[in-house]
Amino acid sequence: MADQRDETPQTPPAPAGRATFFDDPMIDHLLATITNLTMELSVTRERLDSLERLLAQQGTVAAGAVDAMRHDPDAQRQRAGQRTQLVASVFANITEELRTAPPAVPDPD
Amino acid sequence: MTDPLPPTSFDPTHDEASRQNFVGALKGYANMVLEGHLAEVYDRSLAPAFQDRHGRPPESRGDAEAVMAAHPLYHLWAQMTYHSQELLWRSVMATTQRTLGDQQRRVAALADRADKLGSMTLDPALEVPRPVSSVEIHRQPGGYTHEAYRGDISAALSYMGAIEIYRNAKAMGTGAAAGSDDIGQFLCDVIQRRFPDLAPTAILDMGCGTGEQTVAFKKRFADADVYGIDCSAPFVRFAHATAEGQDLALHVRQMDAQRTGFEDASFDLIVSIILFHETSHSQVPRILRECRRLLRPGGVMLHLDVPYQPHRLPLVKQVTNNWQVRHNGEPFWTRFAELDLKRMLIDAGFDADAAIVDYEKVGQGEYLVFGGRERTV
Repeated sequence: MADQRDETPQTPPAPAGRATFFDDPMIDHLLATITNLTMELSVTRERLDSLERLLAQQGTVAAGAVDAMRHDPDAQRQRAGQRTQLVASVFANITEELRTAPPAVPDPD
Repeated sequence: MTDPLPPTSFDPTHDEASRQNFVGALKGYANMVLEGHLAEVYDRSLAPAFQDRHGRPPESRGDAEAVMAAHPLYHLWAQMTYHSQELLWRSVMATTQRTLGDQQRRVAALADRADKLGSMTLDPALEVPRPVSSVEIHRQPGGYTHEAYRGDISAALSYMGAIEIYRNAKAMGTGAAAGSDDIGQFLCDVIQRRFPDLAPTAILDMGCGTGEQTVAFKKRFADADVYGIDCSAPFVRFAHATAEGQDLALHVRQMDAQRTGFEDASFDLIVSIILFHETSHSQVPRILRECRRLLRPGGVMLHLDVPYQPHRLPLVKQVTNNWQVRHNGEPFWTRFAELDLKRMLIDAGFDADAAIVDYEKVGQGEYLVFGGRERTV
């Protein structure tokens, strides 16, 4: 046992899966998704708010400049990557659940 | 000391901080707004429904739980509380993983520096007590003791990053940022107010965790030798670095509070901060007896823990508290709250008139304090 302890500290086992609370667990997963999305919205708003305050403080951006902006290909690629990551993170919960869901039992009829 | 990064800093980026702040807001919504609505629904319709069915009002937590468990608002509260904890760890661990290399080097450098003030001893043979060894406390992935490699401090860094968010969302903090010693300072205040003549020269903090509260005792009682013990190796390493990084002498030991190995009468002040509710029914009396063994004549023991004793809580709150046992990695949460601590203090040998079980306010919340003073010879 002592050797085993040296190898692996006495850490608790990982939980078997996520708990759900609604009669239909899909509601839990959808709510989780909406919450994740809201978190990212909050992050974005705060980042925009920080930027706009900075730019206004420094007097660097005129009103309407953001709306008039066109992005070069590099920026477009970067933004596409960020978008892909956002989608993956927003739908992570439900995707993980359904990936590991047991196969549906076919209707006998 | 040329590295500009302080050793125990939890340094989220702008966006990481936004996520962590969002989790705080989400938890606040679940804890305050949704629980408030639940209490209204309970009073307005669930308790009357119970009365209609049984010819008496709900009298126990079980009664209340039976009617709440079927209500979708309870499901929503549970889902949001559960998911907020997942997001807490996810958002905090993003910062941990990004900064781990720097923090790890810093902790190692502080542990090895020649002009160290304190000391640290690990005990690889220590049998980590349950539930720390058996349950992911607060659902922290990997728990308190997880090490992906020898010396891994990530469990400690994540714990430190998360605890203040959790505390503030429960209205049990002071609004402080991660790494603050606010609760340690608060306990120092309580001790000095209750025992104005106490001038401790040796202090023990049991379950010192990541050490940020323990250093408050060294700041307040600068002449005292301050010891912290914890059963988690990552926490012990981190606590040592926390103190060294602030140029404070802290002696940290990897030990079980039930049997520390310190000599009899080693300390004149023994404290703990939210330790006991993470032990077990059989450990509480053993730890109290160990404290008595370690106290010097006239010495003081004062433990701080969660204030959710059922006699102080409406049934709805008892139900949402008890939910933590199954769904938030808090196996002893309810049974701890139900202990007759006064009786246990007396059984451990403290004089009945010196035994303390009381509540102290901090911020918007309050904590349970319990302990006693050893007889002077």
